[in-house]
Amino acid sequence: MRNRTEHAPEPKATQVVWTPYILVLPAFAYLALFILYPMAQAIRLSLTDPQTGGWTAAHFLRLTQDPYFWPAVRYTLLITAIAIPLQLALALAIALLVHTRFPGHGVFLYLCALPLGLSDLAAGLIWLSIFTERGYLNAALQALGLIRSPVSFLSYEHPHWLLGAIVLTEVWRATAIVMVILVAGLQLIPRDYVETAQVFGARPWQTLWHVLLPLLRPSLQTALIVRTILAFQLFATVVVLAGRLIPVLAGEAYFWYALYRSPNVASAYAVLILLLSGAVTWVYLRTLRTPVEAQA
Amino acid sequence: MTARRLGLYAASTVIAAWVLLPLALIALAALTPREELYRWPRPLWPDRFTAEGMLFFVHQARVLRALWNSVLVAGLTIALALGLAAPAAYALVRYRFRGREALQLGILATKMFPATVLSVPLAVVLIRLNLYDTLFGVALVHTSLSIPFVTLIVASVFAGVPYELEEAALTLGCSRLQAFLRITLPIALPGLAAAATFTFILSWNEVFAATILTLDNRTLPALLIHSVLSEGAPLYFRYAGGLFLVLPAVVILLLIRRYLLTLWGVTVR
Amino acid sequence: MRRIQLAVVITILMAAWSVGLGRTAPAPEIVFTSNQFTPVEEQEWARNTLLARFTQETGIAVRFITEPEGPYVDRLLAEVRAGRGTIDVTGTLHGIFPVLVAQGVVRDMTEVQRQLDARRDRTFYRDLLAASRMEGIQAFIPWMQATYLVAARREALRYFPQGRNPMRMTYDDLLQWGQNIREATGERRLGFPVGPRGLYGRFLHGYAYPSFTGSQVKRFRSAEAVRMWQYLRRLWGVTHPASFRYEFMHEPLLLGEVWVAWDHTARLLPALRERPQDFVVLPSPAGPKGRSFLTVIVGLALTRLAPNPDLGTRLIEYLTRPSTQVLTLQGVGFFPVSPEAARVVPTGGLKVMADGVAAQAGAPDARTALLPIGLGARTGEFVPIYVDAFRLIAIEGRPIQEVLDAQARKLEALYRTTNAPCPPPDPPERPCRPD
Repeated sequence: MRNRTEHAPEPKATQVVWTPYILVLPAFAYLALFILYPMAQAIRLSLTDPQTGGWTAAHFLRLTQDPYFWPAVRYTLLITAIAIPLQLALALAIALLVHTRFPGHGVFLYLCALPLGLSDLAAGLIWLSIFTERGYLNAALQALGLIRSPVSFLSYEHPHWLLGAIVLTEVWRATAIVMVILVAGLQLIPRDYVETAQVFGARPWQTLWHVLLPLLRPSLQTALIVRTILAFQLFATVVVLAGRLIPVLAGEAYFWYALYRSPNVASAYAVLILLLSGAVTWVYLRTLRTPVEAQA
Repeated sequence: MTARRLGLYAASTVIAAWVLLPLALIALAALTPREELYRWPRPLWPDRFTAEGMLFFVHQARVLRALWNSVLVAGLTIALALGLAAPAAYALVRYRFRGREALQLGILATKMFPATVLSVPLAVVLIRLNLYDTLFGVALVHTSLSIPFVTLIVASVFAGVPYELEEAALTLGCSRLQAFLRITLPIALPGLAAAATFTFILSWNEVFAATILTLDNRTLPALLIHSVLSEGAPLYFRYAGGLFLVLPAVVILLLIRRYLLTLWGVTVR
Repeated sequence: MRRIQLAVVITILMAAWSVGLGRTAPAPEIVFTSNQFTPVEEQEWARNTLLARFTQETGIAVRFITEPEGPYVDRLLAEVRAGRGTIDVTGTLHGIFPVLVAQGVVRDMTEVQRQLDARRDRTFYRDLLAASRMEGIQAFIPWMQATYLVAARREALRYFPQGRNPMRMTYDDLLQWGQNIREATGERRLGFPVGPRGLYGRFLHGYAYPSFTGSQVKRFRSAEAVRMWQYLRRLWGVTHPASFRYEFMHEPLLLGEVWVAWDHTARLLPALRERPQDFVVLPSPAGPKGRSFLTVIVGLALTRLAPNPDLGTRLIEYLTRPSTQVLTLQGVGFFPVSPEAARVVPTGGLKVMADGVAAQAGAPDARTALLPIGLGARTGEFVPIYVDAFRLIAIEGRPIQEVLDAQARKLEALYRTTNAPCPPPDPPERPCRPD
């Protein structure tokens, strides 16, 4: 087995290679105009006093004094921490199943990718129609004779059930995102590696753990980053299923913006989401660092 | 049939059923006549089917036009996003240069800000560029929303293509660009397809920017989501509208699914 | 390689097409935005009936854009900030106009009002015109009005307290009703729109507070207010626990999850339209200090940057014509703002609604409350103070006086920084201060 390298050899000390900068420039300039500039404006909004125009931390203070703030932080982290490992496991399972190329794997892949076509609002509505008191779950349970009258699943008296419903909907909808990335990543792993492992008598579980997963690291890292960033911005599903009983950071940002009409505090929430996402992404980039050389 | 085969089939059937069940319920509900939707206990299989709700949407001229607009915007977004992100991804993976990690984080950071808060500044930018209420303007904004993830996905795919292959092509007399086009790109195709799928989905479902940036030339979500999926709409509309919003994506996923799986594996000797 | 070339060519074609589509033919056309008529059937009615007749009569095409409050306001703000306007006429709730006026979005409508008055074919209810004046200008021309009522299933009436008249319902009656239903069926069948975009806040500050304390702001933490909150806690005990999700009550009513609901007339009407024989509409309950209710006013205004103000004025004239007001009532259940239009009698589900509205407005103990004014850009912070109080007191069970004191401080700060007067029925003190 030979070494795999990703990078071109280091340039000589005296020459500066402009190529990478040129390649990156279009994307960067584009983002600077369309996103960075409005983002800078929004960040400035979160730190300025609307009446005097001077710097102030008042908006962030107001944020922390809001009764919804700490629950929002807690629930955002909780939902993310529960849903993402589940999705990772499920997406990996689906990707591996597809990878075996069993007859019908194409259809299977397509079916599992279907939730991609739904926005988080649509997914929330679909599961709402299942869980609501006059919904499909109660109809089925009643038809099977398991209950006599409908059960109120989505009730403020059972916040854990609300959380469960949200996690379930999220796992159902967003696993496809992770799956698509992992499927693509799996196909880059040369078959020889797996075959060689089998020749040496490795069992499927060992092949998975010692061969496939390490080689899948770039895709895993990508999938985790994508999924986490999106998870911190989730709110339509939560609002549909739980109203504001389960506050989440992105939801609070939305309500402060659209309902309370306070763009300053909304921007403060947005900055918070930015910092949180940035911190977690940095952790991912560090711990799941792709080795420059991987030896089989 | 071996036990392993049986296990594979069992697992995939269970998972596929879990994914399909809610969608099937919505399809059923969308085809159920209004009166039956309000009955309790709700029958799973309605007494009769009606296409009334769905036809309502098909018959609205604006809806078909909006459907086309969504396809157009998504297509443009894919082309632009890939065109801008692929070179950047290549640079991030194949070269070590100063500011590389900061750039990676910076590009991702643009995705970490909730778009709702950015909607007014974005609208102002577009108005000033004279692109307000054009599909091109929407596509531009969608592109900016897609670039971070596309860069990330494409970069991870390029990282999976061994540099030796390009090196071999270089020694045989190809230029860097040719090596990229002839060697790396075909191998990276499933990854690019994944990125394209991703971008398509993002653009298709994007509603905040699309709503505020258009008046007349609306995409399908901008046109329908607020009126059909909001709680104010009657139940039968929500189901029919929901199904109507999903169907085009279902069809398009059907068309591009081939590209998610290559027919050959990568072998290195 | 060829595939890539093909892709590039297709991209360029698509780009060209998508930019070209932005240019429309120069026929006389105006742009009319609103946050009303968002449900899809109302939109279709607005385009194909209401505005189509205008186009038939005048030859002016109307581009009608309706969306929820968030994007609706954002769009107007974006145009002002960019200095370029495409929107001519805009129609929205009089509670949103303070925000628009504060940002310079709309122009003074006094001149248009004068033109309308000179036609001598319509007058407007005086209190509606009074509500249209803010920051020294007339912010809008009254267009239509609505209110909030109680709608109930006819079958649920049998649980109404014996010997009491539903049309003269008191808050105690309502509580008893809910308790009777609970005892008989084991379920909580009262419903309120406590969802994030539900209008429950209006119930709290415009209905419950004045009915129990005679004021919206000043007696916020008084002894009567404490009694009110104790009552609301008990009422929540017979309210459907999914109410914190509800935003439009017609759906739970039709599904049967809720049997007695309070909500905005437009959010109840679809249920009445679907099954007119199944529902009754009752006036809102009366408390110790009277039967307080809110009137929702929707108004029309020309934007400051309107490209076609004259054509826009013609649209406003058409929409406020008495015959059009009658058409609007029949179409979407929003009530007229002119006495000349109020004489027509509707049928079907609309009649059920109109009876309830008349009963509420005509009740001997009726008291009108009005939405808070003068809060400018911070108008959106008023209602959450009340809804948060509800959440802390009724759902989380915190001590009542403590919560009221904390929320009263927020009210005080809000009114102090905006220097706004108290809303009726409070005395017009400026700045308003809770006692």
